[in-house]
Amino acid sequence: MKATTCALALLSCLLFDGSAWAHAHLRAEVPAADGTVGTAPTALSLTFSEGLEIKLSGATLKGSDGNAISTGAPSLSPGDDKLMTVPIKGQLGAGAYTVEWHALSKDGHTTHGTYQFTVGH
Amino acid sequence: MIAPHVALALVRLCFEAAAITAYGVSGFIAGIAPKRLGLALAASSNSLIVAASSLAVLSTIAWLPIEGAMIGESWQSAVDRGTLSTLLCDTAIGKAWLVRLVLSLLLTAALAWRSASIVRLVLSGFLLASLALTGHANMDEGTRGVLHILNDALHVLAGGAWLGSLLVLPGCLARLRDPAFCTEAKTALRRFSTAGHLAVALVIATGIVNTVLVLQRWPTDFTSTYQMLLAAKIALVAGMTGLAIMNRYIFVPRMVTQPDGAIIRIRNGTYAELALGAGVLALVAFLGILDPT
Repeated sequence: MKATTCALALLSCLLFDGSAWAHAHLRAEVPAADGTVGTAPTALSLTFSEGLEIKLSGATLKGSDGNAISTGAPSLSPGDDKLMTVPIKGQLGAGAYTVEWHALSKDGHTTHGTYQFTVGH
Repeated sequence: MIAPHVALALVRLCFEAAAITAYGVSGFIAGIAPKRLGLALAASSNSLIVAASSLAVLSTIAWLPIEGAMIGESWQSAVDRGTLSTLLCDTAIGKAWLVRLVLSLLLTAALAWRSASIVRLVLSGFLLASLALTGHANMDEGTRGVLHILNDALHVLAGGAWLGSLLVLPGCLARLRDPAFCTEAKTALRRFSTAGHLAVALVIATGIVNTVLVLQRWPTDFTSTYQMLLAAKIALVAGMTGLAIMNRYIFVPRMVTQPDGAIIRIRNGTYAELALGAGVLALVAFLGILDPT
């Protein structure tokens, strides 16, 4: 009986680990959507409504010519699984940029979207 | 080819139906029916248990590649080794999937023992509760998040007990006419009535808590597909509750004066409840893939 209780308790821990589960919507982003920044950003920061599975989430950055700009692997900020950071390789010149993001929330729902920002002079 | 997210809803529906069948049928046999009647009901519902256990394994296996297809937005991703291994090794979905795979394989292994209803009840109970982890069981964190998951788990367990046990009820009713089982069948029906009241009350109470936690309002805005389907689900559950009340408080008392007619009415009411319950399951499967707004 004791063994059964232990097994049930263990199983409960596996099943109910208290993580958050829902759809991830983009709540805030740096540089801001439709905004203009003076200095070229070195990374994109995207804050979501829910925690992400980072290995299957990410963002691509495109210039106004439609060519993809090289970015590093996306990562979650330590202690906040809702904040995704994508490092930008190299220096962004002045112009308009498009971010295409995709997110997988912890409950297995996918969301995606795009937004633009401009780097000014 | 159907879209991956529709396939995911279908596979979820198969999984729910399988888990609820195994859970409710085993629950009736192990917890409601006296021993001898339990053995007789286990024998007559054996093919149902075999089908439910097999469907639980098959729908679990299909779940992961379909999830992969949904993430990659193409059916090619369903067989993409990179996507699947990342999903399996690096995500909470993969972890929950593995637990489910082990549980459903154990459920199938338990088929070797027809009398292992309690083992089946526990395994399928955990399978069913695991749905709380892949549903909307919370946008909350900390204590509130844990309470939300527990509330959702209680909701599916109470609902599964109600719906699943109805599958055995007609068999139990038929044995009222069998002198060898008549007394035990009457005992089972009395216990079923008590447990039924509790299950229905739990379903309604936890359902209200879930709605408040997920939507933070009543589902009355029909421009939202989620709220419309949730309202439809609530209407079906209200219909099931009405049928259960009719069976218990109109036809059961008639069993003294007109036993044959009353038993047929109760049996038909049970079939109607099962049909509405199937509709509830279909709605639940699609609600699970929608964004709760």
